[in-house]
Amino acid sequence: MKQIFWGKLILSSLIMMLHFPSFADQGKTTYQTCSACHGEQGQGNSALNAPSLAGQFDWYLQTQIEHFASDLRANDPRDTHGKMMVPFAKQLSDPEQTKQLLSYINSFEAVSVKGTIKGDLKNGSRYYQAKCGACHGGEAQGNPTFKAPKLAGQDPQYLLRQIANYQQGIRGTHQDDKYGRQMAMMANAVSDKELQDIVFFISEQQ
Amino acid sequence: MKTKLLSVALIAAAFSGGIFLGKGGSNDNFVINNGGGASYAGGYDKNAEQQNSGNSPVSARTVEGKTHVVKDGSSIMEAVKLAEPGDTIQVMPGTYHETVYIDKDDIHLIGVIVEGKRAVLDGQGKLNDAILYSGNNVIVKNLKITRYKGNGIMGQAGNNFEISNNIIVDTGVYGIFPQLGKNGLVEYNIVSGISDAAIYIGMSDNIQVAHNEVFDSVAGIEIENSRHAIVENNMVYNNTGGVLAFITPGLPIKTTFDVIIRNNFITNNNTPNFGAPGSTVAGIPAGTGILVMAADEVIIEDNIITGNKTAGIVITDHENAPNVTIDPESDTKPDKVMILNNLMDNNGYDTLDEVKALMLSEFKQGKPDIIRVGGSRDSCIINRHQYVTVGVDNWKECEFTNTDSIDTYILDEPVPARVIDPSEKGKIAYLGICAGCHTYTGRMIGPPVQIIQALYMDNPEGLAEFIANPTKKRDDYPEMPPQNYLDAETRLAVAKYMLHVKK
Ligand code: HEC
Ligand code: HEC
Ligand code: HEC
Repeated sequence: MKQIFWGKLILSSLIMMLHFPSFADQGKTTYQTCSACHGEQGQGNSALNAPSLAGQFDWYLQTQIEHFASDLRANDPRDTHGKMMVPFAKQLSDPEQTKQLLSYINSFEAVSVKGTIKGDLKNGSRYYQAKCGACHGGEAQGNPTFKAPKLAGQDPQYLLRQIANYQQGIRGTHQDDKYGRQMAMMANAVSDKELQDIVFFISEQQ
Repeated sequence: MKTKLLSVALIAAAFSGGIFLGKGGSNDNFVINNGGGASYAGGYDKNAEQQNSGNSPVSARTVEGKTHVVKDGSSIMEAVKLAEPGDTIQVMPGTYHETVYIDKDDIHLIGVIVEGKRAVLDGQGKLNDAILYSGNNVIVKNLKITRYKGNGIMGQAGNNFEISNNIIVDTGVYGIFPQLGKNGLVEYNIVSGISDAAIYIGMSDNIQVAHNEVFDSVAGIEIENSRHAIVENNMVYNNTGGVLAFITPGLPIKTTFDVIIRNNFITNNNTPNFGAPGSTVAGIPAGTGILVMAADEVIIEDNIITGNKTAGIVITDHENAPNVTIDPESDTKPDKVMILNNLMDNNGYDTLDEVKALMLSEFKQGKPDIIRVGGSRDSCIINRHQYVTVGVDNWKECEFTNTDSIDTYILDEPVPARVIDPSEKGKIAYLGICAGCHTYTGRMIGPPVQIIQALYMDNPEGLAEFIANPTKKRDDYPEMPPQNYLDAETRLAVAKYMLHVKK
């Protein structure tokens, strides 16, 4: 509750900033809005539930921004964290601006989240390979062929929350969200115990 | 976890006291040899089906059909197209770059060997499969097969087959792979350089694998989800794992039982594992002589098992095996394993740390010949004092000492040809072909079917299109071999079936 409240506070002031991008380094300037939540270097901020953007594929970031803006994502009233993103995504209506922004985000170094959670690596590895690796890649590096994002380096709590969202029909339900629906089907094929170990395995990848 | 904690405590106790506790109260009066006793009756009652045999499982011909002679420079596949059931195709020495698909019954494909020169099928590292057959009563013999990416010789639901006297070198994922066949013989083949199983018996029954030489592969001989199989008189060396009896979870046929592994040389299987990462066989520790995973009624008798650095024989359930997911419909435990006399020497000389810890928990030291981890009911062993063992102390003595009364599980009369009802096309293709590489929940060679279902959902047409002409999609998987030898109707049927299977 506290976090949401805080989020709302900065939210209103930040939206203003979006309207004044300087032409000199548009990407960097636009990103200043984002950095309040996603961090200077896109490393994410778990206190704000904002995921890491560093090291993520630009096509994936772009679709997510589009999905937030078009209600394909965060369309469920229960999705309080997702809703925080919606106004910022809607502000990014100029394709050129978004392009510059994404290329700026692209310059960030991926972060490591090794050691931030516990689990059983052997179990995690076997269930990851059986249930996730064929789309997200053997080392959770992502795979453009399947529009499956990189998971390595992402905040484990964020990953767990997204999977819970898929399981509960908060994300990945819209008929036009084909990839989200694919993921939702897989989220419903894992148990909580498997998931803990899987996310541990992911957190150990670079 | 429990065993680990326990073993740490025990190690501490042993060292702080400055003593090593020998196993207390063990019997020093060894029986020197327990040979020449009662004979095992086997798990397959032939009389229930029919009476005893000649040599080949393939239907004897009453009338010989035509003989088609294929010469260097012409195509074997063209000859197969012309052939009628009952015909023989003789392939003269020469080099052939093609995939041969035999979808007719009673075809004998025989290489002619002239002064040591064979008919060589060479995939040049580009073609996927050398020989595929889905007919019944097929013989494939005397060929040399090299440099294919998928299978050397693959059977797809054909009964009464014989695969013999072939030399298969550096050929992809599976060397010889009869899938979903009943009554078959694999003998006198030389198979090497295979990245999964050199000889792989999948979901089959009544099988004889004998007199083969198998080396430089990840798995030597693998009996998987199959029953009534004898593996004998083979030479199995320099693989990662020698002879395997497996239940692979997630396949549509769920059991393996009644497997006799006897009179084989199983030596120096220490080759570093080069299986596709994450695949089932990639979990086999280098240096494994025989591996029994979840299979029941496996008899291991009179083998020479030497120089396998992890252990001579490893018996494990699914829970303790790496890279394996649990299938609620498969029993995960290897029950009724029977270890009779075997010559074991110099195994386990560079074993895994986990194994060492397990040994300490039993106050044992040395180089393990036999390791059992996880549950196993009603298993037995004779002459256990001869070996360094872990996990078999509480096994009982076997009530018999040999399998002499079982000659073969090949049937005397060939079984009826498998006839495929058109409504079953998709299912049989799935069982006979796809299940060789795809399980429902686990990663085998290809991605799990569950994931394919998420990707394709309600789009069987898209799936059918993919299998006709697959493109490379994943860095850490091999390429999927094209299934364009199947007609469009079968491809769509199998796609629909794949999207609807539930286990
Ligand atoms: C008020 C805080 C806040 C600001 C400012 C903000 N975001 Fe977010 N963003 C979030 C939160 C929280 C999430 C996670 C939503 C969820 O849990 O579903 C998120 C998610 C995302 C995602 C999806 C990531 C993924 O892995 O799926 C993208 C892309 C993203 N933000 C981009 C941006 C960009 C670009 C900006 C600047 C224009 C920005 N965000 C500004 C809070 C913020
Ligand atoms: C069928 C392919 C497929 C499989 C299998 C799959 N995923 Fe996904 N996953 C996707 C796709 C596609 C997306 C992106 C969905 C979107 O665009 O909204 C995704 C998104 C995600 C996300 C959200 C990431 C983010 O940054 O918001 C998480 C977390 C995730 N997957 C975890 C997993 C885990 C864990 C498994 C194994 C249990 C798994 N996935 C299996 C295809 C798959
Ligand atoms: C020799 C092993 C093998 C056999 C037999 C096999 N496959 Fe595959 N299959 C693979 C491999 C390996 C991949 C992964 C290919 C990749 O990712 O590049 C795959 C991938 C697939 C995919 C995923 C395509 C995608 O878009 O990701 C489908 C669908 C598929 N196979 C269907 C089938 C069907 C149907 C059959 C039976 C007619 C079959 N396969 C037989 C090995 C096999």
